Amino acid sequence: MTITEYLLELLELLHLPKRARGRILGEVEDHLLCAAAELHGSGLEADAAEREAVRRFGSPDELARSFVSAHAARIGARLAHLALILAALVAWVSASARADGSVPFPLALLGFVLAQVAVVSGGLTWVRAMSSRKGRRAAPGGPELVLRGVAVVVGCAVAAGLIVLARIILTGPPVPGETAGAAGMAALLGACAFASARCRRLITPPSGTGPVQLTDRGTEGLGSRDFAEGDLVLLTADNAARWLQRHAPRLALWLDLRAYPWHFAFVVAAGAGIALAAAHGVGEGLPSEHHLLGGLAAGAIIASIETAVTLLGFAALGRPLGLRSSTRPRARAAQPACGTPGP
Amino acid sequence: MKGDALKGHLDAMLLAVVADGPVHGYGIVQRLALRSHGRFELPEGTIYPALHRLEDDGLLRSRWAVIDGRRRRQYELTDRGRSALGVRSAQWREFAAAVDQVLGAAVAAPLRPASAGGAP
Repeated sequence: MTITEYLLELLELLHLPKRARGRILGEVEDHLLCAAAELHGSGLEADAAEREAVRRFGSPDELARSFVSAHAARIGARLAHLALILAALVAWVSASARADGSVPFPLALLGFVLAQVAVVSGGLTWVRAMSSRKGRRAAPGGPELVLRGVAVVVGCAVAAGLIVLARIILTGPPVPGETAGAAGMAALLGACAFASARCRRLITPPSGTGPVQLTDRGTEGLGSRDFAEGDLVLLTADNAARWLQRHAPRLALWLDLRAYPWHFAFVVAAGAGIALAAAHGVGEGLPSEHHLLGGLAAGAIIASIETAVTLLGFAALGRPLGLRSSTRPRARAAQPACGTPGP
Repeated sequence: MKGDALKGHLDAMLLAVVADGPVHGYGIVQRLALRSHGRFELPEGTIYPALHRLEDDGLLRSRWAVIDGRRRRQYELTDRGRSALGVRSAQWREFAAAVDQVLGAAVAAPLRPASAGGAP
C-alpha cells in the first residue's frame, strides 16, 4: 500500500468532523513522508520505502477506530453534562408543580417519581462519563451506556413535559417555575437529541461491519450485550466497599454489590425512603405529642412507597443502565484444596 | 518487546520523550526508538491517538509549525504534564522495584520441581 492509498483509506474510515479529520490526516501524512524519506535515504527504493513506512505505521482500520472511539467518549461526556442539567430541570419542574399545590394528586406523584428517576439516571450517567474520561478506571462500553442513561433522562423530561401540558389543560395556566423549567427542558431535549445522534453514528459504523471496538485504556467492545452490565457497580462500589470492609466487614460482605446487587438496592431504597419521610416531616412541621403516632405512620407509608418505587426502578432500569449484572453471580470454580498442587 | 507489554505505560513514555523539548510525531517515534534501543515493536501510528488524548487531558499542547519547509504538528509538555510525568515516574519506580524484589527472590531461591510438591 502506498502512502496515498493509506491516506485515502484512513480518510474513508475517519467519521469525524472535518477539522479533526484534517489534523489527523496532516499528521499521518507528515509522519509517513518522513519515514519513507529516511528509509529511502538508507538505501531502499522509493516504492519499497513507502510500503515499509506504511507497514510500520500500522493498520488504518485500527488507527481510525482509536480516534473515533476517543471522539465518541468526548461527545459522551458533553451529553452527560446535558443530561445532568436536564435531570435537574425535570426535578425543578416537578418541585414547582408540587409547591403550587393545585396539581391533581396522580400527576404530582408521577412527576415526583419521574424527577427521582431522572436525577438518579442523570447522576449515574455523569459519574460514568467523567470516570471514563479521566481514565481512573476503564469503563467498557462507556459511550453506549451514556447513551442509554441519556435516553432515560430524555424520556423522563418528555413525560414531565406532558404532565405540565396535562396540568395546564386540567387546572389552568402554568406556575412561573413550570414555564421556565419547561422552556429549558425543550431546549436541552433538542441539544441532547442532536448530540445523541452524533454519538450513535460514531459508535455504529454505517458500513455494517459491526460496532466500534475501543482499543485504548483497556476498554472493550461497544454494543455487545455482555460488556457493560454490572460495570458501574464495580465503579461506584470500590471506594465505599473499602471503607465498609475496614469498619464493618460482615455488613460489607452482605452489601457486596458484585455478588448481591439486590441487597444493596434494598438498603439504598430504604435509606432514600426514610430520608424522604424525614424531609417531609420537617417540611410539614414536626407533629405534636397527640399526633406523633399519626406522623410516624405517615412517615412509614412514605418510606415504604419510596422503597417500593426505588426497587421497581432498579428492576426496570438496572440492566440497561449497567447497574447490575445481567447474569447471576457465577458459582466459584472448584478450587484445589490449600497445599494441593494445581494442574 | 511486543506492543501489548507497553499497555498502560505508553502515556508516561510519551510524556518523557516530549519532556526533552518540542517535537513532532515522527520525532517522538525516533526518540522512543533511540532511548529504548529499538526494543519496542509498536505500530508507529499508535502514538497519535495517545498524543491526542494527552492533549485533551491538558498534559500536552500542540500547534502547527513550519519546520524545514514542511508544516508539522509540534507537541510540548504543559506544567500539568510535567507534574504528571513526575508522579508516573515515581509510581513506575516503585512498581519496578517491587517486581524486581519478587523476581530477585525467585532467582535467589529457584522454584523446586513440581514433583517435590507440598511444604518445604
